[in-house]
Amino acid sequence: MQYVVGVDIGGTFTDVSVIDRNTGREVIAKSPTTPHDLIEGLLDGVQRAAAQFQLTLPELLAATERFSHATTQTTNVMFTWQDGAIVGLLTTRGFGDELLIMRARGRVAGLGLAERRHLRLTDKPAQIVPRDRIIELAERVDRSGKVLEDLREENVERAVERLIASGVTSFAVALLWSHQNPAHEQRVLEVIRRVAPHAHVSLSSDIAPVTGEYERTSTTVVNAFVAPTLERYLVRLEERLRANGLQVPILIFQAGGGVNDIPSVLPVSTIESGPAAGMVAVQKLAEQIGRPRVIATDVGGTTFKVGLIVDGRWSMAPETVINQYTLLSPMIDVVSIGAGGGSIAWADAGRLRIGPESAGAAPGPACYGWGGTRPTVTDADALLGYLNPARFLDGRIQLRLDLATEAMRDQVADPLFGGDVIAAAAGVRRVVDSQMGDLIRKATLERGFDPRSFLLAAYGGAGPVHAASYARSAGVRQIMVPLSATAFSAYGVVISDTVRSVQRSISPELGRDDASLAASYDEVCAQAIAALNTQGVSSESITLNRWADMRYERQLHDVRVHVSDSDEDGAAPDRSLVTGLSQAFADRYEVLFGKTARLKDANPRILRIGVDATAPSGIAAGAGTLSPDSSPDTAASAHPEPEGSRPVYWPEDSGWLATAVYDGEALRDGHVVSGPAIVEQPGTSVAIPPRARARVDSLRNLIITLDDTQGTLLSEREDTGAVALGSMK
Amino acid sequence: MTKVDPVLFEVVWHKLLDITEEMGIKYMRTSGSPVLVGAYDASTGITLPDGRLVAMGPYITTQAHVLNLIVESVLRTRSVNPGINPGDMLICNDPYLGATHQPDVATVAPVHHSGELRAWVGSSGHWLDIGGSEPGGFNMNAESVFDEGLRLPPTKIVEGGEIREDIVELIMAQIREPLAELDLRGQLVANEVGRTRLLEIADDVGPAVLDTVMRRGIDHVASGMRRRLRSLPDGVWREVQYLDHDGHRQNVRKIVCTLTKRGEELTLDFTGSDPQVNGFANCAAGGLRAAVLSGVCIALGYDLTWNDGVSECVTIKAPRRTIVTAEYPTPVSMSTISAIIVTLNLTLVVLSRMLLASPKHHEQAMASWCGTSLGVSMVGVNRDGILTVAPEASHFAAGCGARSYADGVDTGGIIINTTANIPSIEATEDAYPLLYLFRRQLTDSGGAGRFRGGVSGEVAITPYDTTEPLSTSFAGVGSVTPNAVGIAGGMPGATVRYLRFEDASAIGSDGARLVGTLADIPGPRTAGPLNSSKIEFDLRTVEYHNWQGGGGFGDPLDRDSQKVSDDVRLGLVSAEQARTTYGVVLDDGLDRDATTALRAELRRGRLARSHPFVEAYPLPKDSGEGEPPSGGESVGYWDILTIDQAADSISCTGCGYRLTRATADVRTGCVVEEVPAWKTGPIHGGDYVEASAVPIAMRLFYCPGCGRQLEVDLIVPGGIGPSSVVTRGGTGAES
Repeated sequence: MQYVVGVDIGGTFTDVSVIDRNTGREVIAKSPTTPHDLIEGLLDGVQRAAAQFQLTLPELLAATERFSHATTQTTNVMFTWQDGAIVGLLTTRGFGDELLIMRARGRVAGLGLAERRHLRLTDKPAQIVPRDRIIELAERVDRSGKVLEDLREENVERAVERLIASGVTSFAVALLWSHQNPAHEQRVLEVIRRVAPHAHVSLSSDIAPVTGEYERTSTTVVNAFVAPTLERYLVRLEERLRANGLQVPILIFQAGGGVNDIPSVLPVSTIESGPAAGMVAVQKLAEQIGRPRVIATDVGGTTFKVGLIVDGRWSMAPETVINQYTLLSPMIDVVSIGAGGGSIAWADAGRLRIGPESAGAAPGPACYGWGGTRPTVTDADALLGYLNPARFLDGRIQLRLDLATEAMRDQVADPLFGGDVIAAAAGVRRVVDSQMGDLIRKATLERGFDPRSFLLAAYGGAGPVHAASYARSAGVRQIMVPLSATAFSAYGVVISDTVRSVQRSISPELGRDDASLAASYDEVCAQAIAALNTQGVSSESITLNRWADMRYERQLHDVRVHVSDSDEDGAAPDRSLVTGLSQAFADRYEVLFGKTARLKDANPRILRIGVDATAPSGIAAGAGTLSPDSSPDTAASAHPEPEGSRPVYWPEDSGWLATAVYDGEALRDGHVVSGPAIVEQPGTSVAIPPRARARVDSLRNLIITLDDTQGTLLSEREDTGAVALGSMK
Repeated sequence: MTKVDPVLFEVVWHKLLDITEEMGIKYMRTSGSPVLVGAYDASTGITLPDGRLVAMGPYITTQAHVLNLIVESVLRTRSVNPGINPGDMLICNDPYLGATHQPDVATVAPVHHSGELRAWVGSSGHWLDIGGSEPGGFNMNAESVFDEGLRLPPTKIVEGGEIREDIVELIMAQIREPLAELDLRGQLVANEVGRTRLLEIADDVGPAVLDTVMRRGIDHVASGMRRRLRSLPDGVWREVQYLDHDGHRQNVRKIVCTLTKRGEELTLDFTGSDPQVNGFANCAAGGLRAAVLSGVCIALGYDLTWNDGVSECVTIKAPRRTIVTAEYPTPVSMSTISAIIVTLNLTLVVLSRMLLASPKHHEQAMASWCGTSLGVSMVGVNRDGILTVAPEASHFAAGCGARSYADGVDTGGIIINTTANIPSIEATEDAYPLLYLFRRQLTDSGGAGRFRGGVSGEVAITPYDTTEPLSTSFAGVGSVTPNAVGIAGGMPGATVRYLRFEDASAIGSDGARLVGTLADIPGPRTAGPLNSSKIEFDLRTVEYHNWQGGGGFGDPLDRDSQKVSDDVRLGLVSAEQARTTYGVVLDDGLDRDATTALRAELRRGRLARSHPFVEAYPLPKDSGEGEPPSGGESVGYWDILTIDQAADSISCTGCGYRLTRATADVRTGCVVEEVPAWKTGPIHGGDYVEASAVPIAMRLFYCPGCGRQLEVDLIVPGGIGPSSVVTRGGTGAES
């Protein structure tokens, strides 16, 4: 029992990361994702990883002490509408349409501004539960949890029977104010268990116990929709892995940033868990290199994603929109725009536009030679020398510069740049990098932080190719490119901790009383600990991070604050829980919104509290362990020999420069590479611009320091996202 | 202009668009107002030094379109005294100086760089209260602006970066809702963010480049709009809409718009609209401009940035002192939910009729969205003993207009709001002394058509957890006039109803009856008074209201009968309407044969009841002339009419019947029947028809050959109605 295995199934590739805990050595394997049966690609990937340890698949699995897995199974259901369960919804009489009304915003939820302005093209998403599978139950609870009208079980029975007769296999139960008093939902559960013992049941008071019936219902319904699919998949996966020798339970990675065992997993939380896995990897690296603030950037084929690590931890999104449905399940806060390697460049009456259309995987960028005729960001990268045509994606694709040239010339260079293909390609890069930089600035400044105080981590296929440029545009000076984790999300999955989050709404009265509040925290903590105990985690190894979502009375914007550590470790706090939270809230609020954005005598109110209970995995890849011959090469000089050189176009230095090219596999701790240089990686290229210096650290991260002479759009200031007027006190 | 290459333009332009959104986010987060945060009733924008709008945030479009006029007013009235200096901000809600109505307060900030005025940033939002005799800013009884809330001509509220706390207090002293101060401070924060970001750009690229980018951003939109206009047909289209309450009486006033499109020129002439009234339903010229430009942006500029590049292509003509150009001191405080939204939808419909005559563009056409909006609030003491004003905003989940290929979106939002949003029931119950009995999608509220208008919704509410009765104020138009008209033969969506059940018994006590549908609310029902305030909302009372649905597209008898059957199963259409309006027979499932027979019978009935149409108000003589028929090609008006210039005919595409000459109004070739509006649907004004001083009717135009319904117009019997003449078919190609 010496191996830990992490598998991340993405849209294109299934990535596997295996760490030998005895040596700290990590191996990576990539296998094409097999959409018809995800398990095939998974097994193939694990087998390829095993081979690198000179093991067979059963040998590796038999010696595996922890197997964690992030799957796209549920994400696929939400984006393709295939394979979801037939869901029936039971709700409070009078409110059966709330799910369909979607607070009216379902028509545009999650859409960009340009999409929202084309009113004719906006529609609500496909209905998970059509109106004839929604049944209203006569019952009513008020805001304080008081029962105004009792639930009658015979009504429930009739409703359940009717839904079963219409083919329902998965029930969602979402009654008004059930988070304040779950008794009625519990009784509905009992009836369903009795009448339809094999049906799946999702209760809103379990899944999202917070105020807001639409969001609570929507989260519960999506859970009901994907749960049976996930369950079937996991049953099969477990069978196959056991048959191949696995002896430990499978752990499932969730978008909140941790793993849970199969009985404890919340299916809705596995949706879009891939980006969260990348954040976990960044968080771990940030901790290892002692950088508490990191901007994580992931450039894929169609999207650019940004997440923040602050004070060594990520933040949670207050809500997430998936295919226009709003979800309240815990999800690491990652923002994105539709810009990536596949984004198409086009001329629009004198303007150079990038996206929102993407060439995607089919037909792909023109240079792939798969029939794409429109120029993309990747074509621009290839034309400017950033990509090695012969070694792209490990040589799986021979890039066709002739096709890239043709596409760029016809559609961008001729109409906008007097036929200059290189100027056009450089323009495309600058525009897209600037837009990415704008998202970074927005994501940091809006959350009250200055991007200059951050390190920027770049990963994803096109991230390292563009990082220097978009970092510079956002005012960031240092970049980290992990050389040791090309399957970065799989690395996040393999190292992830076991996390259980529990939350609940708090009434105004309760939130003012220290003893009651402490008791409520004790309850949610006990729930979270119990949930981890059932997964075999001992209580001593659990760390508790307690938080509260707060707002000023009568205002509507929530801010999450954490119970300070001194209160946590049992030391007698020198101030009350309520006072401590209120102070933390006031401080954070002022950073976010400025001093004046509240009424003078407004009181803070606690809306909901929660706890993230974490059992640390204690797993990390050791230094310099990517390949068997990776022991630090003490003989090498600090300046490694380049593998070769090729011309690369660096626009800031007015053109083509002979640029050294290094093989990323050969770089070791302490190596220094001066720009201009390209470091080639199996899945990507790292662009190191002129005057930048890159150093390899002991974890084989490439740390690039940009020069400080470049202009930025920021004035010098620290953490003043809220721009306050001089006298607004 | 300084030379700016396409790359630099794109880089800076993207940052400008980001700024308007960042301003909006700051504003929303600062304000605690449910109207602002829950319904995004606000806007942000950047303008040139002269006020021309460069970019707007994704919120209420009409509020953004007034920023231009507010800046112009500031420049005109305040340049000398007290002067416009770096770090200043000015606040204004004067409807005669550009604001839409008094509760929509705008604050604008000049952006100076190296000593020169380079731009303005501005934000506008609907405040919870603006003082005056009624909470919330609507005075139902107003006969002049002096009966309404606080009116602020441009007033310096920030001077050289220092907030004028005396002015803040002066304003807040007039306002009963202290939370409105956050609406105010939110605007200051938003503007400061916008100004700071603009200055960062100016520092980085230089003010001259910033200036060029802003101007080119407007030019780019203008040239895109001109290209589109050139590709569209020429002609003249008249549209008529109504305000059926003036604030005092249930009267019916008309808004008449004549659209003339020739080449790349678009003129909307509101001559013929009724004179201003002494109630609060009017809008001023600024409101008219905002409504028209918003409509043009939505119908023709859907893929462009929304800025004053659009307004460069549009000429708005209107006599002074009409119901859409009211002047001081005529009251206008309800304008946004009456004259402005009605005019916006009118603009959308008249432009859609133009789009329908172009095969390349016809899929962009839409029927009217929910034609009006409401202002509903309930004042009362909550459980903490605090006096609260609960704005009931469910009506933002309104029915959207049907399209030429799909139904309108059900409960999808109102047209003036780019990002629709209504509060959750639980959030509302948490904050206010109210208990909701139900909130539903409303059966039969979507306008019937081959493609159905989106359904609207209904709510029922009772006081809860309070010892005192509440008082309700209910403002809105559209109770007797189904303003959300259909297009190409589609029917209008439902009208507004405000129903009161004064003896519905208290909730929560023993024997209390909670109910889930309108039909189940106990006790006698009365139609509530519209545009009234201080209506006692007793603890035993249940109040109900519904709002307008979207208009339908095409003849309802052409609707796929399976879709009608599905709508009935899903509760969107009643079995009764399926039979009478859609001609669909449902007996234990869809009976296709019986449906075909019933539909044929209904078409025969139409022809039997109708008579030839004579236009009593022909379009001006010269408008029909235009250029000689071009090319001789025949084009479709959607898929229902064929306009053949060579043969000089318009014929019914379905049956081939020749209706009229190519350059005549197709209505003149139809047969018509006129039916009281309330008889054309179950929620078409029946509850208010007796109180209405003026009857409202629908004119149903049929093809004499096959009985297909080709147009449906909303009219006052004997009054002027819509009319259309296409003088030249558009090429469709944008070059």
